Amino acid sequence: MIAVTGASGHLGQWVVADLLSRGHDVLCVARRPLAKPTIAGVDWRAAVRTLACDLSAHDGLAALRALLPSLRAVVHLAAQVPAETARNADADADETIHTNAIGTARLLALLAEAPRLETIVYASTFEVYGPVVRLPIDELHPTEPTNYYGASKLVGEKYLRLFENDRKMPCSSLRLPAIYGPGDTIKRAIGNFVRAAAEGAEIRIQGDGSDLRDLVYAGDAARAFSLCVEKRASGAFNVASGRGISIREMADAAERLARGSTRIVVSERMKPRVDYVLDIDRAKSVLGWSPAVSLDDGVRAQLAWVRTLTRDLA
Amino acid sequence: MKVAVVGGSGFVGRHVVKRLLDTQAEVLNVDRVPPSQPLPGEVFRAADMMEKGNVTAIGRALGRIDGVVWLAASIRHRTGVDATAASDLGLMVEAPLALLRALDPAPASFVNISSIQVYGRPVRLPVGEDHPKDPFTAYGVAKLYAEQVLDIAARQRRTAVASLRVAFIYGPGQHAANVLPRFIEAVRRGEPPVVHGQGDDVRDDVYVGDVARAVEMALRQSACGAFNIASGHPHTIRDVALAVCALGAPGLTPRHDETPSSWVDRFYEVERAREAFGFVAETPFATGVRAMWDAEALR
Repeated sequence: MIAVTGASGHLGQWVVADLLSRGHDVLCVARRPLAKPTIAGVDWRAAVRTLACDLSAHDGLAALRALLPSLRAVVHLAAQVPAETARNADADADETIHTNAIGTARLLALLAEAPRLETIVYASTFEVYGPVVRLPIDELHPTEPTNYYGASKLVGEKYLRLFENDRKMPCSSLRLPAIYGPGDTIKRAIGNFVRAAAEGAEIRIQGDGSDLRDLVYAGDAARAFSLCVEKRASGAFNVASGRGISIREMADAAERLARGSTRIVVSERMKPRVDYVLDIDRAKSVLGWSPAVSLDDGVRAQLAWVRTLTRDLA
Repeated sequence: MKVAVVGGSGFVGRHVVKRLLDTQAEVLNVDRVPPSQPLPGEVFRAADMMEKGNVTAIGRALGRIDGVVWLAASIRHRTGVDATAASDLGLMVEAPLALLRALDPAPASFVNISSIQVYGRPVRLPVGEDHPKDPFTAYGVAKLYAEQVLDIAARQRRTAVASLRVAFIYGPGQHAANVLPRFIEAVRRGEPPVVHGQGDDVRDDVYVGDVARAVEMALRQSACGAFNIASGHPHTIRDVALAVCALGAPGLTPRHDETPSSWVDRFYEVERAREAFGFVAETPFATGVRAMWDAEALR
């Protein structure tokens, strides 16, 4: 059985769907675990087991102990993600230290006792890298996170390395950029553009929109987790588009696919230009993974999902 | 200058408190246990910094201070992740962050004692501050995280945070289980110190008095960033054994056994601390070992 922590979240629901589609037994671990997906467009092809656990509570993992003998793999997604990571609010520090760093340490201490465990796959973030010193960013790029979230994800990776060495068990960390697709509720570029397009509002960008970002479609990201589980992968992997996608390209896709219900409004640039492009060669060669969903197809799916939400409201 | 030294009763803490008092600072030692030998002028306050509420209350009560030295840590050699990893993050990350936040007004300087364990096994020598960080102990992981969290918190305040990545610290008061106290103990008994293999393992031992001076200099100059605090003079474990033998009975030499050594050579760049706040380790190894030998004799 494969336990997925954070199984009720955006990425979690996609990961569970992908694991089920490949024939795995899945245990959904979350504060409020779901028996069925809630994101329209995500399909769970088989039944799951559920377990209520709270990573941030002192004894929150007690319920998992009884199931340790049945675990073959764990996909650890549960985390606090601040709404705006760059703000570094005091509350962000408290939540990320508590849930992400301490929670991961507690989970690993418990999993050290799992007798049949073969691998752990951990959701990390491109924010572990910090200031960009070279592009594209490969996995050997320096890791000097400048926000509490990135630091809390990096400490989880480091504990996972200790676990891997200590237990002689391959473990992997997937460094993800912004994840988009049905279920993406985070208020950042692509999500905002798609929401504006679906609602017939204006798509607002600053400057020429030439800043490059990296993105990954939720379904593509989910497949990378399944591959890591199946291949017992080891180490860090960037899981992203592997090409820079400009803000303008995202806005154009949302505008074009919304078919005339929106337009792009350009205002003055407020922030200095920053480019992020992740190198995905390692995921390609070691996992045999590469993104399958084009930006247009991903945006189309996200548009359709946003429209189901607004229909539900109306 | 008014300074709070958190963990001032421990091995390094005693030397830091003494150095600060010697350089006319006002010192408040905050520790779980009182110092075994209080120094004239030292003010002691008992507090368990594992309790977040204690940390915040102490921070609020301190009022205006100029600097903090954070030494409190749980030092254990765990190469895996067990229950201590989570609780150690409380003392080594949450607590110093809580203290930094509770201080009003913000102190000018916060010296966080970190460790060369943040680097893990060297992939190049000497190890500079930009060397990859791949700790192989949970202690090293917690120290790395503490550096990053305090650095982010400091950027939002007017406090300069300096993380001092200290090499192997030796000197009077060091825990008896370490290699140098064991060598001294052997030589005092008239026995040769035992060195594994040829004794070519390269290491970097820095004298505790030099570390205390580095802390004081970083505080006074509000140093900001991460700095190696090392000897600048790497030597071999055979050199260490020979230095101890020189203090014992004439003619005593190290004994080499056949146990293979798993040591990975390590020594550290020291330029950044010198450039930023003028610190250079000054104590020759023979002098430091002599001070240890003499202090042990007093016990």
